[in-house]
Amino acid sequence: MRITRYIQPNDLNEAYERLVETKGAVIMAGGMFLRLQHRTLPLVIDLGHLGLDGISSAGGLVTIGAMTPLRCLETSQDLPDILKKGTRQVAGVAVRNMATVGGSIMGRYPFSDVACCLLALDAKLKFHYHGEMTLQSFLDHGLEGEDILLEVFFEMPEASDYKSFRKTYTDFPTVAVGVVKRESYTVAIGARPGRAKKWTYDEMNRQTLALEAFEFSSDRRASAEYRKQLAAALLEDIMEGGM
Amino acid sequence: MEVTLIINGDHYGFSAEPDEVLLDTLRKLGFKSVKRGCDTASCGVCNILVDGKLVPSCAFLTVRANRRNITTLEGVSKQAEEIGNFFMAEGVEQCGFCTPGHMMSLIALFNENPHPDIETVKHYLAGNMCRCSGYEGQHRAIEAFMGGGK
Repeated sequence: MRITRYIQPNDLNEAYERLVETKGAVIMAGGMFLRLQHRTLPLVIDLGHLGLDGISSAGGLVTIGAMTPLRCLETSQDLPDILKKGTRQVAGVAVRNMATVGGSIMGRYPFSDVACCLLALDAKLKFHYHGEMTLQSFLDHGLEGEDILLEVFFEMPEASDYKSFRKTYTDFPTVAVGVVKRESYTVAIGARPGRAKKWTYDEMNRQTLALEAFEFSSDRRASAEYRKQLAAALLEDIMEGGM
Repeated sequence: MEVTLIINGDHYGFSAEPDEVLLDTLRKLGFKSVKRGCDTASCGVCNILVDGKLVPSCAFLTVRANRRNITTLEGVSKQAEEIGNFFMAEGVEQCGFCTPGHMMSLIALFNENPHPDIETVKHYLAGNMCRCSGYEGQHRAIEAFMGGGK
């Protein structure tokens, strides 16, 4: 990564204006994936001074600022189990102190544990320009034009859980399963290897394990059939865990 | 860009390129405990503390660290020596390249949680790679350190 200009604005409107007026400008949240890219960035806009971090909860609605590091999600006492478990094995602690929930969402990464967890939670996103939208819609369609993600929010569930299979402790998941219980059960499966998808079931039973609603594909990590069997095994573990 | 870094309590002022990373800056300033390993924030050998938080210096822009407190192994040498004696007793080090990164992670952990159990230690150290060993020596040394050394 090469950077021509770097700014760290103190005002959200200024950050947005610089983003839309400068061709090739990018937002820096944690900067973890930006660091890995082999390109020259004409302008990097660091969101670190905009106060977009923090976790709050009121009346059952949980709000997480887009610049909140993943380590904060992992260690928070105010978040559901699915998010605490879903962030535990995202690289190491050092990376999780820098990688942010917003960066994890904006990349629309198929392997993202965070996106899978938030999808199971039926999370919504709040953007500076585009306003609110569901995470599902963002993952499926992206955005037209540039924007700055401000926060992600969801209703606290009755119960939740998350399991993934990884070849090494801090690796990307081969497949990931998140389950959230409210009046019904929402199951999200990520790293299929495609982007996370969700399905809602009235009850969790043996039929759920058939996972007919989900598509799996093969890549060099795993075959489609193996992924599906793994996902079913992880879901069964979650069910037997008392969900 | 003009930056001021507070490294182990001392102020350093200089010009930095916008894409310079702390790993290179710190090594240029003589803090050789900070190593370059994978350059992708995956291995942990470049770990330092910024404002008390463990971070990979290969992925932390120097300009982003302006006016922030940076701690390298040189700044916590007493604490590191205490743990290091247990590493020596267990024969942990082979090439020794990963040790500074391991030490920084351990110091960060003990600052957060003075009495972790060994599973918490293993989880915390998951981002530190050692190419020489199977990590058993590190775990024995840490358990011995926690058992009576602290």
